[in-house]
Amino acid sequence: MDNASKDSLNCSPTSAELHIPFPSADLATVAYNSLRVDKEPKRSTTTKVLSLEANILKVSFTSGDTRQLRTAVNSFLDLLILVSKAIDEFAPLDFKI
Amino acid sequence: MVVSIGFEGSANKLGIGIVRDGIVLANPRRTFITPPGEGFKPVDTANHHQLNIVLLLKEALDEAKIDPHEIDVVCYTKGPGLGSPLVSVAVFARTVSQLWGKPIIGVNHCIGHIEMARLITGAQNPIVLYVSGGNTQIIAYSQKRYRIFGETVDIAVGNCLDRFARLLKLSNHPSPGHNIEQLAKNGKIYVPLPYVVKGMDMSFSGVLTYIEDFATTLQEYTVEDLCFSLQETVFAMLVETTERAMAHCGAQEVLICGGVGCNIRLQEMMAEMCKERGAKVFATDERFCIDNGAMIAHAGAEMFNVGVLTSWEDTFCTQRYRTDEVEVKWRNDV
Repeated sequence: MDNASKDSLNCSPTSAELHIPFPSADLATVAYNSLRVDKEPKRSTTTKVLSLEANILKVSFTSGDTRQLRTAVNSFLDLLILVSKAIDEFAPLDFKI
Repeated sequence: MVVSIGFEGSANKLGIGIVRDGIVLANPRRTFITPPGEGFKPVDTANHHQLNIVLLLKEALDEAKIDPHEIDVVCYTKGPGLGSPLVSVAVFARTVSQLWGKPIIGVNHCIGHIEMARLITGAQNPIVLYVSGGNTQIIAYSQKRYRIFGETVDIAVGNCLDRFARLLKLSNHPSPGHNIEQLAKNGKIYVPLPYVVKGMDMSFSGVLTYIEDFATTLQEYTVEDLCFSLQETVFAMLVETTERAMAHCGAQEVLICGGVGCNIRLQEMMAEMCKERGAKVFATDERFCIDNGAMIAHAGAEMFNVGVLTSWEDTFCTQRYRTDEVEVKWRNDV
């Protein structure tokens, strides 16, 4: 048996789905717009798709590599946290798009 | 009267600048400094920017005494640079652009350097030597483009200096290049090093490999001698290629910009060559040589004033972004 080629984490595409609620649909839209522009890095097998449902930002990730999936999800969450800090500090009161 | 805000984070410097009609109202900056012997990695740099950007924005707004509603345009560095740091800053810029209801403009980092240096020094139509840790280009403006006359065929001159400093385990505070410059002042012996100029282009990876051998054995030379010799060699290469460009264009002005442009020895050597030709050298101080937000704000304002905006889908970042890809619509000279 060829141990070097075994990797039980990579039999089939892995996926993850995140649902992030915001205080309002307008703020969820801000996050959606900020985060949907950048594509995943070229060498990554992970793709992500963002969508909006009222005040909930939905992200679904698909990857051929579980470790890459972890990186993609972590990077995304770091940026999401950054967006939320910007909203907390700089959104005008009763913000509307 | 246009008030623009610029966000810069393509390398290890995070800068936010606010500019009103060519006057810099605020330009605070934070630098991610790694321990001696270490360079800065993209993920760590991105983390640094994410951790500091909110406070830095508050600082900029306070210093400028500007309220967000007074801002006309939000500008950010589209590229070139490191991927995750660029994206971190772009995501933040997209967010405040929406929260404040302001248009957004993606700015080319190199053009930011050039336009800021032109503004500060008043140079009219110089040959531009743009030298930093990430870029080494010789640029001349012609018919709405900053044309790249010559450039490095491998690594940037600043990258060569930084990696040599890493090998010597010099402090990275305030920057590795600054510390090489200080040591070089006490160099006594000139060590002949490979000198590689190919027409209008230059190569630095060869001289780096060669001097790396010295660093590990040091032989009979001191660290000061090596720093001195490296500077003299690579700077002479820059001066030669700049002079060639000046001869081609009949230019009487040289403008040095980018982080390596802070180096006084480089400015001296360039001035000597210019004096022989009856030409003038222009350079800025470290507020504007080193990556900063105001240069992005100013270049962005120039674009905004001629109606250039960036569509939302185009607010992505790109690690490779050639200086001549941008149409310089705001200049009317030939």
